[in-house]
Amino acid sequence: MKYPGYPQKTGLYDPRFEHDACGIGFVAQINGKKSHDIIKTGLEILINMTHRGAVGSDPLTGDGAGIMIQMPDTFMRKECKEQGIDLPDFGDYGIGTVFLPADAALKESCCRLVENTVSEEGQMFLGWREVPVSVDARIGYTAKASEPAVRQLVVGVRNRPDDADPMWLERKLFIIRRRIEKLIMGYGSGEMKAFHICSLSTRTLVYKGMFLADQLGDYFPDLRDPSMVTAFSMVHQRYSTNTFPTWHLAHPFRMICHNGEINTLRGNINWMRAREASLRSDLFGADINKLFPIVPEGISDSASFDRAVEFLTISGRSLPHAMMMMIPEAWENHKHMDPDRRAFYEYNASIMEPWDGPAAVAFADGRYIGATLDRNGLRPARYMVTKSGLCVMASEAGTVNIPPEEELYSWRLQPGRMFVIDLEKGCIIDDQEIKAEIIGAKPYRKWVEDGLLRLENMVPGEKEVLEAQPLRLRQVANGYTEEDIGVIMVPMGLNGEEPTGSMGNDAALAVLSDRSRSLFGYFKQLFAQVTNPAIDPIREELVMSLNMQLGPVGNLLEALPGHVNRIALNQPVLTNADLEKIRAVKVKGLLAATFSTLFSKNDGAGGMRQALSALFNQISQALTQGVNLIILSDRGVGPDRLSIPILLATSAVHHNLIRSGDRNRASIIVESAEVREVTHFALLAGYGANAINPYLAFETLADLCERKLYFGDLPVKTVHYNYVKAINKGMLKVFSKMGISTMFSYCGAQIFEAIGLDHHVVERYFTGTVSRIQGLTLEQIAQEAIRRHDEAYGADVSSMLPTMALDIGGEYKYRQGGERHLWNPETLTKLQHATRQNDYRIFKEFSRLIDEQAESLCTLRGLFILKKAHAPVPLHEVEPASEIVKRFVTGAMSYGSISKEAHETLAIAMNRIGGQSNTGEGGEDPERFQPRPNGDMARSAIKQVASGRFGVSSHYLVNSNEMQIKVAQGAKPGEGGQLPGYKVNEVIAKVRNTTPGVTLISPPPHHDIYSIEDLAQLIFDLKNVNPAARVSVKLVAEVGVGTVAAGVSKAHSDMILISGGDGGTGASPLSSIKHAGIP
Amino acid sequence: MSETQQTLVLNDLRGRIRLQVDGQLRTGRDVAVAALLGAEEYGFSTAPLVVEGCIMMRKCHLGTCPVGIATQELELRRKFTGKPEYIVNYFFFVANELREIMSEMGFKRLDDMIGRVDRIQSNRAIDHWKAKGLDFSAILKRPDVPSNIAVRKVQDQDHGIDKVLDHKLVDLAYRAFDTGQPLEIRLPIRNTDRTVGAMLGGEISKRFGGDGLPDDTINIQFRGVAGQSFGAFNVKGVSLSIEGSANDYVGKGMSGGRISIRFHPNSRLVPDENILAGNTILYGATGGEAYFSGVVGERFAVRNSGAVAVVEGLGDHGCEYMTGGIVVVLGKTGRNFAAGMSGGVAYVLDSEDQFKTLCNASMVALEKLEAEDAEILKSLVEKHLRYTSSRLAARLLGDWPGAVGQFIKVIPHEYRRVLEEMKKKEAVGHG
Repeated sequence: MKYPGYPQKTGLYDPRFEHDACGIGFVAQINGKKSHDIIKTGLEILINMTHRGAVGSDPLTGDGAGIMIQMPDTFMRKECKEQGIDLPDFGDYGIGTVFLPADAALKESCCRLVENTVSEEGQMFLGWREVPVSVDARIGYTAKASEPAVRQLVVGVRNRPDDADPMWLERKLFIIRRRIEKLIMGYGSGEMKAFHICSLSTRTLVYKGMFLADQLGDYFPDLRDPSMVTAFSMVHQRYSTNTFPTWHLAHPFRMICHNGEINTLRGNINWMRAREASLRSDLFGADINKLFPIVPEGISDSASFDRAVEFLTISGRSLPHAMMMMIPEAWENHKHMDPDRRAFYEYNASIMEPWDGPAAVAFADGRYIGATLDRNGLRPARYMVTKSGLCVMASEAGTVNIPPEEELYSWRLQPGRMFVIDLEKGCIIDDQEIKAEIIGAKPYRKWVEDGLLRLENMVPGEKEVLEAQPLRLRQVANGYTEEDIGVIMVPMGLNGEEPTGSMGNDAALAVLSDRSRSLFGYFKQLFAQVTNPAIDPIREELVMSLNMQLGPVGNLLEALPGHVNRIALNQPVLTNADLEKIRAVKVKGLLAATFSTLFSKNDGAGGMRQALSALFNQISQALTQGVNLIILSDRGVGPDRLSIPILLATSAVHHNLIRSGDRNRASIIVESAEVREVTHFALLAGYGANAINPYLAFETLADLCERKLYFGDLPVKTVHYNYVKAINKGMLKVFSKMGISTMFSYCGAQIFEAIGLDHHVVERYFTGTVSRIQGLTLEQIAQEAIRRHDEAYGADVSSMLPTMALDIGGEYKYRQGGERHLWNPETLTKLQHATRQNDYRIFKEFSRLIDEQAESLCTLRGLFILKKAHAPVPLHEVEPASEIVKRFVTGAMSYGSISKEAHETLAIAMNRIGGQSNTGEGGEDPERFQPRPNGDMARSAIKQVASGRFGVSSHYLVNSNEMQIKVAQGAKPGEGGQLPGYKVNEVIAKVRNTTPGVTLISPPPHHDIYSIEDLAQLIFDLKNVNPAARVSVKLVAEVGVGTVAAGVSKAHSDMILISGGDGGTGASPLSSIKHAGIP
Repeated sequence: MSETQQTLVLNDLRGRIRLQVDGQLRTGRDVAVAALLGAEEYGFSTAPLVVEGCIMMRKCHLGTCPVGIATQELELRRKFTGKPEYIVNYFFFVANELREIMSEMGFKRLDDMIGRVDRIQSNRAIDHWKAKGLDFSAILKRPDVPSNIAVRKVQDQDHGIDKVLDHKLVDLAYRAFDTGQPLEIRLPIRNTDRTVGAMLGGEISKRFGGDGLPDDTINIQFRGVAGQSFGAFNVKGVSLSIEGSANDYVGKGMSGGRISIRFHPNSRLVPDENILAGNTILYGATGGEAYFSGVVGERFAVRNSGAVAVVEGLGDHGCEYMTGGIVVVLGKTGRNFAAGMSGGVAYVLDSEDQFKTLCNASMVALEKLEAEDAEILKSLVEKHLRYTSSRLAARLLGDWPGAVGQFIKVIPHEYRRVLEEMKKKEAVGHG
């Protein structure tokens, strides 16, 4: 076997980045009548959605296909009889399809383990059925190489109490399966990894594997046996970003199949883990511990989702109820939603966060089959009901041939909506009806009205304690620069907007900077590309929400009124008065306590580690005394005392509580002087802070107001209000970049990469974060904090108070004495001089300067040494420059962001040397498609297709050598752009096919790329228009870009452009320029 | 970059795709590093701008660039002094510098350098107080794969377009290309027929340029359920119709021509209560017309800037980011209609008086129709009847004075201001 399953993490490849998406569908006979035709039709749906799946390097190996049906009792009875197994009555046995290692010895030991577990759980092992597979089915060599042995496990009921509910055996089987899975997992890697229980149930049965759509039916003769009948079949065709043999990741899983992507997976897994300690259920009793972890590490997002759904349903909730909890509608800003329904969702928010991301989910449990769609409607799902009572649902219409006269009605799943078929009652239940029943089951609205404390209605707390140390000193100690205030905070306080800037980022990475940088600077935001869309937080505000709740989280498995005895926030930024309210709260069992994050400077760098463990101890003590609102505070910094970097303190406490199973007993509220810009808030929230009070930022703004600087006559209150508004907007932008829509699900989701932190630090305090180049240890982080503190309180500076100036900064723009940049007046002049004089010598001076600076630690690549050969090649034998320049292209800069002259000059130059220039977003004047009298061509060889699609017509596309799909732009990945009306002059309007003077907005996502199979479709579209040109896809470098690229390659792109995160003209919010994308 | 190369090679997908990299490439050495990490092509952004004269004022977003690069102001543009020669010089400098490095490293051909991370050594002499803990071994890891697995592009992708329905359409259309005679084609269609019409449109654009063919030169009538992207990038002169239904992305990027879709004549489905076509229809369309006798999905006419469309009901986010064109809705809309709509007009039949609550009014005004609007609307409803035999259209036209009062006009504030200014200008021009 070449690769037994997923390769281990190697180099920069890490299996956790894998994505998948696909086509889903089901067919059901609504009256519950079973037939073999339903299986046939299911397979037909699959085959007609083949184009939504993908193939890897091996054209016969698909990414996976599968089918779920009702337990085919007649068929199984017949088959078992032949193997000498006497099947009990329907409902008294369970059958599961199991993948076993191909190796005979391993296979048998797995089987023994399974059999023993069945007996240990008091059930009857009835036997194994060898599942026949066609040897002549044409599956690919990759699939073949990892082909498991397939058997079906037959279990009979035993020891069932007389008063047991109908789910008793189903629960037993679930416990059996979880125990087996954990045992096998214990054997570690290797061929045992092939082991997988596809399903084990009294009600449903799954067949799946690494197939192309049309191979599934060929491979399993069972599916062609006319005696195998069912009233529904649910099918799935997978498209993944890898080509590794992963039979078990094919859908359907035990309850669902899924088209889309869970963007908040890391957080969902963490919260699920956090919740385990508080889970109690009479249905399971002590057995519940056998089920943990509910969501194991290392499975796909869809598989994780399935685990959670399965857990919720098996512990007593109905399948639609579970789906409503996990994929809630956008209730927060829905003015017209029925108050009872709203209350239901608000109640559920207290016990479970949404699993957020584009999703069309089909689900089934044997009696019910249905489907639901995410809150923003980002996946397609169409359904059709016929006069004879057949219902067909699929990602596309027309997958089953239905005569037009047979059609009764056709509809689509709408955002946040659900529809369910009850096969026992023989009817379709629509969204309104299902939800009304679930919502009416408990007095949720009364519970919410009685229990939930709204922050705005809470009684004021004490007046805040003023700090003893002068403001300026505290600013310096927290690394405030002139730039922070002037460039970042003032515009926020003034306009309520995040400031914008241009030309990308060429300042040093935090880990390579000489200066003491805040720990926040060591993290980069991740963002959605291709596998899931960014959201427009402004134009699609109705799906976004910053709502948060504070307080303990109740037992997920019970619906009790007290669960919602919590504090409700409309947004997570707390004013000082808000925080005092919370600090003082003493009702409904809520109790706050403040924990200092300070440590003594005398203890040196080692002191921080002790301070952290002291903090952990104090908190766990406090929890036993009923504290459920943890306030982490860095107030009180002085000459001898400094704070643990607040991000470290927060994340460390968060992860420590998760590990101890206590995270759900309390919320984390951060009171910090370090926090001032959007990214800081996002990072704290991403690492577990439920609410944040940036008191020094408020104080700084108030001080400016008082001194009548910047804000004119604006009252402090307004400035603070504007600042919070800007932070809120900025945070929504950050969420939406990753396609996340709510604070509930962003909180703890860790959508960041660490750059320059040691892996011990990351594993312990930022558990689950990617960090690839190592870097600072905990002691070095402490050292850096002390250095910064020294700038205010060091021995040599204390005499300068209080007139001490802030550092000028220089991160955003080159300033003398500030942060280092590669482009500075000297390098600019040299380069211009060289090219204008055509003087290679001056160019060499330029490149020497650049390379030297790069080396002196501004960039990572500057740290590389190129190994010389022992025997150099004579220069004249090296490929000529005229060939090399053909591989050069200029970047995408739109006509509109740069002038006609600048744009055409680039195009002419590139056409002269045989390289390629790029139109950028926004069309091209057809005049440029013709050669000029002197033979020059101003036509850009690369035609860009961006999310705005301005000027992208057939004529534009056929005049290209390359059509480039810009998935994300370096300086502002995941955000749209806006060209204000006054900039849209006649010429720009002409090339963009719009009206002069009308503002042009580019949406953050391509509205035809919400998923990887959509990208394949767009590539196919473009290639059809102009088959002679190549299609390229522009991605931005970030963690996980490799797997996205693999998916793009499978989508048949001819070229991939990996764009460093540091380029770009045009206006981008400064927080994007600095914090998204990696070099 | 490095992660991409490693993952593609591990998956044996590298051989069918080229890799390009950009991100502050400036010197021959930068290109050498990029090649060794796995890139075959190299993108330059800031450096060529600097060569053109950019002095990094970081004012691009203000439009006041003093050297005539990032600006549209005529005065400032006059200050532009860049010449193609300078850029040519620059790229040859970089290439020559790269050649010197290749010579030292012993590579004759650039292809031989691709993916040779083993020829990079990370600087062990890092003595920076923070950076000393850095470890680049993950970046510089060469995937451990057999030697027959490609590390650079060696074969072409199979796009699967040699079997599309459009080959047939193009073959049939040749006659019309040559004679200019209108052509009628009837064909069945199903969901596996995707992007129907795009190749035909491309062929016409190549031969006849952006103006396409005279209206209705090529008429194609389909029966069945069309696959995704039906009529994508359709051009002037091509009329496509379906009796049946369609999936997502109908009329994407359409610049001209006509698309009309209605249910199959034998179907008993009530058009305004059943779904006829999918999501994201007319995305980025710049012209042409489209008629849908039925309900369509979410984000109808998103970023439309010129197409005219009639539909009998639609989902959420209708007319989002629209900048031009006309949309007529003869039925219910979903939530968030007209979000980010800066141009164009929509006429919505609001017989149940609830449209106000469904429209995102942050950029648009809702008003009654004026006589001029009523005329435009009527002609579009008539066309809708003509092309789709819509019963709803027939009913509305049967009592037009009664119907027209139930329509609401949606027009962006800014768009109206611009139109008024244009009118004024015209009046002055004529006066």
